[in-house]
Order: sequence, then structure tokens, then C-alpha cells
Amino acid sequence: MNGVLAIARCDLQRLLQDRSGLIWTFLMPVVFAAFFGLAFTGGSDPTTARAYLTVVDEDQGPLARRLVTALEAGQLELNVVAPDQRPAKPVRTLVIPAGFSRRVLAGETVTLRLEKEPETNEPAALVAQARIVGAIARLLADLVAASTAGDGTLSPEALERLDAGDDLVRVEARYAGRVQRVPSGFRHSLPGNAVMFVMLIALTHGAGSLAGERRNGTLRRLATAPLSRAEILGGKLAGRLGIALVQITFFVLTALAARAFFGFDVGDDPLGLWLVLAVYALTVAPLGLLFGGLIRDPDHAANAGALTTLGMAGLGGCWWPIEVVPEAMQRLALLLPTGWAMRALHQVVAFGNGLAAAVPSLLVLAAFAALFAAVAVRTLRLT
Amino acid sequence: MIRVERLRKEFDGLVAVDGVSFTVEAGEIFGLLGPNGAGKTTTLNMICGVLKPGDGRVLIDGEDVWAKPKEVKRKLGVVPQEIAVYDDLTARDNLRFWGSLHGLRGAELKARIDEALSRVGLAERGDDKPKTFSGGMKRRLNLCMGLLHRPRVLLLDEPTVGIDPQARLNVLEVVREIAAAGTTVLYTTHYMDEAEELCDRLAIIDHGKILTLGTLDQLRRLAGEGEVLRLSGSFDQAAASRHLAPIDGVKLLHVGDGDAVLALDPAGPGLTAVLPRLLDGDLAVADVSVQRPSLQNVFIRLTGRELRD
Ligand SMILES: Nc1ncnc2c1ncn2[C@@H]1O[C@H](COP(=O)(O)OP(=O)(O)O)[C@@H](O)[C@H]1O
Ligand SMILES: [Mg+2]
Repeated sequence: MNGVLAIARCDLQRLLQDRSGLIWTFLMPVVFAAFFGLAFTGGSDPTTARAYLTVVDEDQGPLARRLVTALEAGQLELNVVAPDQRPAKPVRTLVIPAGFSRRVLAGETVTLRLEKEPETNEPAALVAQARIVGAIARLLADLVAASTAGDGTLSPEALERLDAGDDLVRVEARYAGRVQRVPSGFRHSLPGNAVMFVMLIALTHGAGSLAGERRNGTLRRLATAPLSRAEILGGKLAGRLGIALVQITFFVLTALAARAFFGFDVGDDPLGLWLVLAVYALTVAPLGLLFGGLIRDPDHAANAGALTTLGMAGLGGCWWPIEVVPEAMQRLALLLPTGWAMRALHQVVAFGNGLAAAVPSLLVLAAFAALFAAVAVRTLRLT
Repeated sequence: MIRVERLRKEFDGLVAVDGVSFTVEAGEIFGLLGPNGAGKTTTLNMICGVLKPGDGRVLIDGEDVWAKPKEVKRKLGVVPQEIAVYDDLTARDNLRFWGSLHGLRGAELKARIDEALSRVGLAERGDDKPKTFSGGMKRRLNLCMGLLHRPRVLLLDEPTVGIDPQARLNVLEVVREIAAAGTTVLYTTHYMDEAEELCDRLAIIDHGKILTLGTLDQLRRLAGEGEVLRLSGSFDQAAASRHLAPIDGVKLLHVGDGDAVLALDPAGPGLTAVLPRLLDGDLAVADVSVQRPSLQNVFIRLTGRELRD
């Protein structure tokens, strides 16, 4: 155990002697996170976006009333008007056509029309759309419930009866689903850059210095020390992990300082940020050793590590929210540790759902860690 | 103290070490002398448990390195052929790290570091980084790291390669001191004079095989009291063989185009009688050199080649 710690400490000590290593490990992540955080800060959180909707009720029937009620429950900026009172320039308008109630009750298909101005506020449009869909779902649920209750005929009276009793079916028309919320500002730039730079240091500095140690003979010398192979590999792994933890701690403390001094919105849970990144570090540390073990030339190892990091960062959603890329690309992100780390961090940092919501992603990261460690230990030759 | 039995190692088809056996007694300086590529480093790596032998085994103080790696490695000090130090850590930090791997700490570790640094003449430079050192200083630090934990057995792999004569003397002196204090030393080199100067006993190794083994005196006697003659000129191999083979009082060790090596038979008629016979006739000899008996002659006698850098 002493040997493991001595090796780990030695690696940390060597990083501290390396000026450019220090800059890339500690300074650059902060600079990048600050730059992108400030550049992309905007009130684009759809949960707080104000979604305006004008409803033109040409029907004036019972089902139209029910639909409006459901829309009101959806917390839209609602403006219900009669057909002759249409405002001059509505942002978006839902038209409930005349005869809507009668035709639906008769079992006909009716088209609701949503008229939109060219969108300027994308998140608000998504919110409005989601809530309209939610309200319609609610209405349909009521219709289904009414038709199965009583004598099986669908009538306004059956619907009234339904209101008197308990809800048989409740459709929670919340703003949910894939397009839920798109993290922005520091809530995206902090996780994104932390995930990228922790990997970058492990795969460049980590891989390069291990390959260098094989080249200059210190790894072979280590094999002459009274240590088992497991202790040597454990020491190397612990060293990389220690470096990542120091890096993460510095990063999170800087974020906290930025919040204290400048009032930046650094997310809901800095401790959660640290914990998720620590689990992620377990994944990345053996990956660095794997690269350094497989690639003989230190420069090649570091270059391969850098390229891999950039690829994994981009595809994993470190640079832009994964929500904005096509679905196939989003699935691709789930093959990468970066993708899972970002997923976990969004739960904790951007959505404020707490560490518990990140647990599934953390388990996947732990599986990645076990896989990478097993392969690294198997492939690494000291001599 | 060191017992090497039938060690063998192949690297994809190339037999680097081929049935090497020898023993080194406690407190002895044993030399492994051979040209580059002879298999010295491969042998050493198998002895110190870095390289798994293809065949054979190594006992250190009666224990197998591969059966009890930790126990055995605790007794070993290894000075590898390459300068295996961290260039970016100070000499002291390198030693501190290495000492802590051997369980040294605190005041004792510091005392050992001071002692080891001054022993190799680096006391003043302990707080500098090896990247600012000369080649000789790096070599001495490399040596220093092998001594720090006062091993009972010290393995040195060509510790004087590429350094200035002053530093070289220092290294040899340190090895002698260590051995005098009771440490068993295995010293590999391709420098004949180092082996002659330093070693109690030595083995000559080439192409992975031990050619001969013994004390310096035994080896010198093997070379015979006689001198070795080298001829060079513009003759070809066939002509030289034809001309030289029948001459009494010499033994043909090596014949090539333009060069030949002969050993003078101590029981024969002697140099003055043989020399005219070598030079008469149609063999176009341009130059003759005569070498006194030495390890060099032993090597030439065994391989027909000269041992060079
Ligand atoms: N890891 C290796 N892979 C392949 N060949 C090797 C390896 N190590 C040594 N050799 C070969 O084995 C032979 C002996 O090498 P070595 O033990 O280094 O000789 P020496 O130390 O006497 O110069 C050489 O021909 C060398 O090229
Ligand atoms: Mg060698």
C-alpha cells in the first residue's frame, strides 16, 4: 500500500513540475468554461420562457370549453377570443373550428389549426406546442373515460357526469420528453469543459508520461522494486485518479468562487458536480493508462489521446447540448463515457434533479471504469 | 549468493541468451564481459526478475526470484543500462521516491540520501534536476539509486557507458567500496580493462553463450603465455590459409580477406623464428602487430574477433 501511494504521489509531483501540464490541467478548463458560459448565456430555459397563445373559439361548445380549461391548466399566457375579436398580430393562434364539439361527439375527425408567425423564440414555441398536445390529450382522456362509463354513448351529459366523479384517467400534461430542457450558459459550459479537460489530461499527459516512462526505463526500474505488478499498476492508476481529483476540485472551487464574486449561475449542486466528475475520473484514469500502454511513442500516445478526447467530447455533448443533434447522434453519445457523464451532470447541474437522478448514468460510468481498468491491466507491459 | 542455472531467452526466433550458468559468491565482484548484443542485459533482466526466463532459473541467496519476487527484490540493487531517473524531479526527490519504495522514510531516508549522494560525488547537486546534469552526473545518480537501500546484491549493467574518465574512476571506486563492505556485485561491461581492473572472477559471453569463466589468472593462462599476432595486407582468405596453416609454432585463429589472427604457441620455436616464415613467400602482408597476453587475447582466441565498443 505504501508503494502504491508513493507511486501515485510521484506522478502528482511530476505534474506539479510541469508548467504546461499545469496550465492545461487547471487554467484552461476554467478559461474555456468561463468563455463559453458567458458567450451562450441567455434566457432560453424553456421552463421559464413565456409562451403566448391566442385561442379563437369558433365552436363555443362544451368540448371547446373543456379544451380551453385544459390549456389554462397548462400555464400558458392564454388569450381566448370570439371569432370576431381576433387580435391583429398574435404570435400563435389555435383555432377551434365551428362544430368542433358536435362533430367530435359524433365520432368524426376534426382538425385543430395552429397558426404561427415565423418563430423567433424557439423554446417558447416548444413549450406552447407541448402544452397544446397535453391539453388535447387531456380532452381525449376525458372522452374515452366518458364513453366507457354509463351507457357507452358519448354525450355532453356523460362528460358532465365524469366531472362529478373521480378522474378515471389522468393525463399529466407536463412539459416532458426529449426536448425537455436544453442546458445553456454555465449550466452547460461547466459540465462540458470539465468532462472534456479531465479526459484530455488523462489521455494526453497520462498516456504520454506512461509511454515516456517505458521509453526512459523508469517503468522497468519500477519492476525491480519489491512491489507486485498489481501494486505498480495500482500506483499508476491511483496517480492518474489523484491528478484528476485535484483537477476537479480546483475546477469546482473556482466555479464556487465565480458564483460568490460574480453571481454566475453555476448550477444547482456544486457538490453533485464534484461527485459525478469524481466517478467519471475513475473511468478516464485507466483509459489514459490504456493509451500509454498500447502506444509506444510518447508523442504518438499523447496525440492519439488528444484526438480521442476531442472526438468523445464533441460526440458526447460537451461542446453543444446533445439535445440539438439528430437522434442517431444522441444514441451514439450513449456509447461514450463522455455522453454518460454529461447525462449525469445535466441531471445534477442543469435540471437540479439531484444526485439520485444521476445514479443510472453513474452506474454506466462505473461499468466503463471496470472495463477500461480490466483492459489496461491486461495489456500494460512494464518491460 | 547468485546462482544462475541454464538461463535461456528467445525473442521471436532470436536466441538472446542460450544456456547461461554461473554462480557468484557472497562479497565477490563477478564480471560479465561481452560485446554489444551478447546477451548481458537480457541475462541481468532475468536475474532481477524483470524478464521471465524462457528456461532455467535464478536463485538469490537460495531463493527463486520468480517464486518469491518481493523477498528477493528487497535484497537486490539494480543499476540499469539506461539512465532510468525522472528528469523533471530533483536528484533528492528521485532518491526519496526510490527509497520510499524500499520502505525507507523519515530521518533514516534523509540520512541515506545524503550518504548516497556524497558517495557518488553529487552532494552539491542534490536539489537540482537531472535534466541539468552532464552525462556522467546522470550515470552517477543512476548508480546512486541502486545503492540507496544498501542491497546485499548489486547488479550493474554497463554503468560507465558514455561518461568522462573522471566519472568512470568514481564509479569503479564506488563499486569497489561497496564490494569491500560485503555486497555481492555482478558487473556487466564490454570494456576489457574495467573487467580486468575490477573483477575477482568473470565470464566471457558472446551470442548468448558463456565462452569461458574463471578468475583473471585462469583466463590469462587460457590465452596462453604466447602472444597473438595480427596480419593485415592485400591477400585473400584462400591464399592466407594456404600459406599460414602449415607454419609450425602458430595456431590460426581467424582468416579473412586482408586480415588474419594467429596465436603463438608457447611451446613452439618463438616469435623470432616464426616471424620470417610468416612474411616470406607470396603473401602480401603490409602490417604485423603483436599483442601481449590479456583478456583481449582470450576473447580473440575464443571468437576470432576483437572486443570493441
Ligand atoms: N526485447 C527484445 N526484443 C527482441 N530482441 C531483443 C530484445 N532485447 C534484446 N534483444 C536482442 O537480444 C540480443 C541480446 O541483447 P542484450 O541482452 O541487450 O545484449 P547486451 O546487453 O549484451 O548488449 C541482441 O541481439 C538484441 O538485439
Ligand atoms: Mg546491454
